[in-house]
Amino acid sequence: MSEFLQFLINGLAVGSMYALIALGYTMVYGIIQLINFAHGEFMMMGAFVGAFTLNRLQGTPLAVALVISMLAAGLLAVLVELVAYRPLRRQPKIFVLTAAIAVSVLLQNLGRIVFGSSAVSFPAQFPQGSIGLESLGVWVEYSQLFVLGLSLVLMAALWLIVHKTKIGAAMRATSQDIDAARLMGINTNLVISFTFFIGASLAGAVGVFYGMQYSVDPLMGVQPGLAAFVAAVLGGIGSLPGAMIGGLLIGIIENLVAGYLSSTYQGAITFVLLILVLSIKPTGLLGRMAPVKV
Amino acid sequence: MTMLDVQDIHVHYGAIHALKGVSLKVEAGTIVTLIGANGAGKSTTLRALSGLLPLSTGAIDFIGQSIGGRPVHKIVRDGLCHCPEGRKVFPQLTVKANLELGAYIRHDKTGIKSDLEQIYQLFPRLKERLSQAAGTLSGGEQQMLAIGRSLMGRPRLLMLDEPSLGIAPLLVQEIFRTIKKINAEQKMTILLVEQNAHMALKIADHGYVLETGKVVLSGKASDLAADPRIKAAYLGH
Ligand SMILES: Nc1ncnc2c1ncn2[C@@H]1O[C@H](COP(=O)(O)OP(=O)(O)O)[C@@H](O)[C@H]1O
Ligand SMILES: [Mg+2]
Repeated sequence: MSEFLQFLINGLAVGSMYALIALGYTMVYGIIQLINFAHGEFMMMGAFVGAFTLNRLQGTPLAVALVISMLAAGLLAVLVELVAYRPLRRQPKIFVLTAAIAVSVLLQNLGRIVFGSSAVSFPAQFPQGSIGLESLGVWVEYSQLFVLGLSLVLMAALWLIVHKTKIGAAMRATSQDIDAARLMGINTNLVISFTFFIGASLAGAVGVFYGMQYSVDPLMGVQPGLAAFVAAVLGGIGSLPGAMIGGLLIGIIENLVAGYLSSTYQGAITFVLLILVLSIKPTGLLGRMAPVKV
Repeated sequence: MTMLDVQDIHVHYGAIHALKGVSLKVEAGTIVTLIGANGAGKSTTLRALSGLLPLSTGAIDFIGQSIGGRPVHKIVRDGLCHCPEGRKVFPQLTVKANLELGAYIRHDKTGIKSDLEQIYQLFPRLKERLSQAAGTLSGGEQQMLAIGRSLMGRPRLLMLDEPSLGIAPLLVQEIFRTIKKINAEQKMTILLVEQNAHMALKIADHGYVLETGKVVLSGKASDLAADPRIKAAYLGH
């Protein structure tokens, strides 16, 4: 039982990061029906910017580094959309999908050139260690608590933006009918840029969370990017709550599989899940029923 | 005062030449109707006026300003509102949220509030369904919502694309009555696109007849309604 609980906690910690990345996939899909395959690379860029800030500018508080990473990843995504995706918007979908794959490879190589191909570590952020819940026999690492807590804060912030602000209303309108949204006087190009910015800044934050726990390298965005993509599909692409639930589920399932079967299967299980979802319920858990999608 | 002056506009969909030189004028305070058979180019005309489609050539003046080539969201802010064919309400948002989006370009909270009340008076059915998802409304109710949403932006000119399309006959009467009421009570200038020429010519001051991308006839609505060619082609006499 305590073993199971421990896997659950580890799964939630990883899953909350998948959820944050999945939110970006699902928001962008909701608004322009594009699977942005470069999304994982925004996380990688966020991680590198975080590592750079903390290593080179000694004494930068973690919170400041986190904000800088989020801004950098967000702005990079705005630029990518503007330069690589927007000119292709009127072309068949396969064009912009191909562009997204190209941007993904480009950013990986850009990361290699700018930051080098060897892994970089973050300086230790806070005391290593964990809190033991003796009665249950499980341990929660400080870094896990930090990641889980901040993930919740970021998701709550996103919820507030989408449901309580004017730009949020514009996002919801644009995702349901872009021409109708334009006829309301909404500058949908701005809304699309904003959506890329928000989605990628969440991925940038995850980059920092990853960097704190593991190390940073140009290909680090690939695995979490794929896991989060599957999470978004599992939750129902286009649905925000779906992305959150999907992310947490994938994190938990991965940890259960790695714990009870073998860590060799950890990566494969994601794809098994993808195939299962696509063949059983392609709309995902909350796909069709979601009252408000973005 | 001429509010809208459309001069010889051409529009293409790829190789398809959909509008072949359409000109029309809308005077302030009037209802002008654009009638014509399915595929004549009525919706294309409205989509070009609101900026959703680019002009190949031609000019559009709205309240003395050239708006050809202006982005859609700016044309809306100029006061030209397009209530599109098929209603295009936001299906997963509530009726209230749809109406509020209609007022997206406005910042006067109290004005928005009083305009909402005005919409509820115009369409009491909407008030009963404020927290319902717009997609669950009947066709007629969705049309009322679409018109209400358009009014929430306080346009100078309201363009309606086939408000009677796919609506129960009883409601059609009600919708046309309401359009006339909006024109009379709010002094709203209206450009009404319709296939239901009979009803449209009844409430309009002026009319244009569109055939395969060209204006083939225009005149006072009452004259058009009496014209034997119109009677034969559009009024089923
Ligand atoms: N998106 C489109 N692509 C290509 N052709 C179109 C498109 N929309 C309309 N058309 C064509 O343009 C002409 C005018 O259409 P439309 O303006 O919708 O007519 P109406 O509103 O009068 O029924 C028709 O021949 C129609 O087939
Ligand atoms: Mg039409």
